[in-house]
Amino acid sequence: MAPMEPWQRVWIDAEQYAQDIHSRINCTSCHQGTAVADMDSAHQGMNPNPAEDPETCGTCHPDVVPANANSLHTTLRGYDTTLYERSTPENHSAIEEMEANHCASCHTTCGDCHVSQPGNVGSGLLEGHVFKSTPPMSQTCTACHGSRVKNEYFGLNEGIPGDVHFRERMACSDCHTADEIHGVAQPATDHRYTGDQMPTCESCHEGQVGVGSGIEQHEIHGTEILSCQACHSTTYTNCVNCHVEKADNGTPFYTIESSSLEFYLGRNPLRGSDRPYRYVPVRHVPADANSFSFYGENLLSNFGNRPTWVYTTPHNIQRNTPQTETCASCHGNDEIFLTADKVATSELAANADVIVDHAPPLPEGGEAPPAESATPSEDSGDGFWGSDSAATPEATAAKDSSDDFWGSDSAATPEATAAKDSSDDFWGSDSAATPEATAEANKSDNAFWSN
Amino acid sequence: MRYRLLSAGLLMVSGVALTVVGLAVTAASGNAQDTNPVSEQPSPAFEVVPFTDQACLDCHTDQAKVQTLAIEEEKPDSLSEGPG
Repeated sequence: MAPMEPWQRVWIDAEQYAQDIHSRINCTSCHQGTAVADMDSAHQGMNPNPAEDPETCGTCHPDVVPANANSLHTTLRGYDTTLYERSTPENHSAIEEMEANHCASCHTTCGDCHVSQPGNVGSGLLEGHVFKSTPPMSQTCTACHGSRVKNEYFGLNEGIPGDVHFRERMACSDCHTADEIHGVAQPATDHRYTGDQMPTCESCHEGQVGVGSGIEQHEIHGTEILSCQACHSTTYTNCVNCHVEKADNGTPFYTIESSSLEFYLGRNPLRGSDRPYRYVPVRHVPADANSFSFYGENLLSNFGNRPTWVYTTPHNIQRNTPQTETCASCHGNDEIFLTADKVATSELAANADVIVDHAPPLPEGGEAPPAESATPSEDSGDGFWGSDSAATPEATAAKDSSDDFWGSDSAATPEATAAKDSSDDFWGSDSAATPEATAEANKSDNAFWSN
Repeated sequence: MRYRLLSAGLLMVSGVALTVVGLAVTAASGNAQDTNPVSEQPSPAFEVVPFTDQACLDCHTDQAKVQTLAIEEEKPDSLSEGPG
């Protein structure tokens, strides 16, 4: 993201803020300090982020704040769950110290999304202290969920088109509802993939998923065999060996030794009634047993207690993908499956439940390309796939990438969208999702860890 | 003459009727205001006090002033490498 000037971070837009109901509240009621003209005196005891105390917002928003305080966004409990399971109780305190240094700025308060940018991207008021009920995507959501979700969704991985929903101008909050993000009316969960599946494709594509949909390939494969993403997502980033340390001056930093763009289907490690799929895309966790060795030896002594290739839902959904080309794209094609030869020897045991021995054989008569097989039937609704019909990686590669990178809608680049879309809610106050800005954002210390 | 009296009577009845309708509309709009979305109104739990913090706004809404006074927070260069 483009960095904010210091003054932009603290400037209040008098005209806009006057329209905001929060402007009726005294500044010092939330921020403390003293309302006097002298700057030093005024800022004495001032709290720049009053939302850290849930009572600040919770007094007027009791329907949301208590639930949010217990949500994964606030507690980051998903990290604890995975790291504790890979560790032992005597090492938990060292892991907590690591989390405090390297993960704490990913914690979100109400204010981190609704009035300012999150701390890990430098904070600063979003729009002159105006509170945004729907936070702008690029300044909040993808500011943290950056190197994987953002790059996939916006199509910033070279040669891979952005998500069809993005090309239809859908923002994160169009699928991820406020209740989901705030944890309202939801059972407590210790990891985002162990609770209820939210959102689901069926939420919008009602009647078009699995058996009974009338769509040939959906009828054949059903949700018992494949998740939607198994066919309709494509190449995504896999990171390994993230290591965290602190510099001599105390500044936390990380190093990722390698990453790669791949797509692998593995056996579903979370198979159950809510996620019944036999095969799902699997992504490598960005860590190894020594990731936190700076904070103590052998902290992740039980690293193999969980798979290192984990359930994932890549955010680069396409109608046509390499998997949908022919039956032989997957059947009999070990290349697309997470077979043992693709897994590090030291991780074979941990991934025993995920590794696929061999690709399912080609069904009889399955050689012929299932032409138009992924095309929704006539009664399945015209709007199923939106305007996208040409955004396969192959089609993209075959065309002039500068013109057609974004599929059939060549105007849907972040730059063009920012220019066309006058709604600041979609892009925030800057067009931060350009490839250049992304490269800058990827340097951020606390980006998204997907496991 | 009888016609004039009748007209005056009708005029008076119409006036009264219009007044009653006007009062009813006013009352209805008042009720509508009472049922504004709760989310736009501070909860009774929050004590709304007169705004007295103008000194804060005087400074923070003055772009030229904050451009002069706001300073870059010193942050060491990040040593991080790789896609975070």
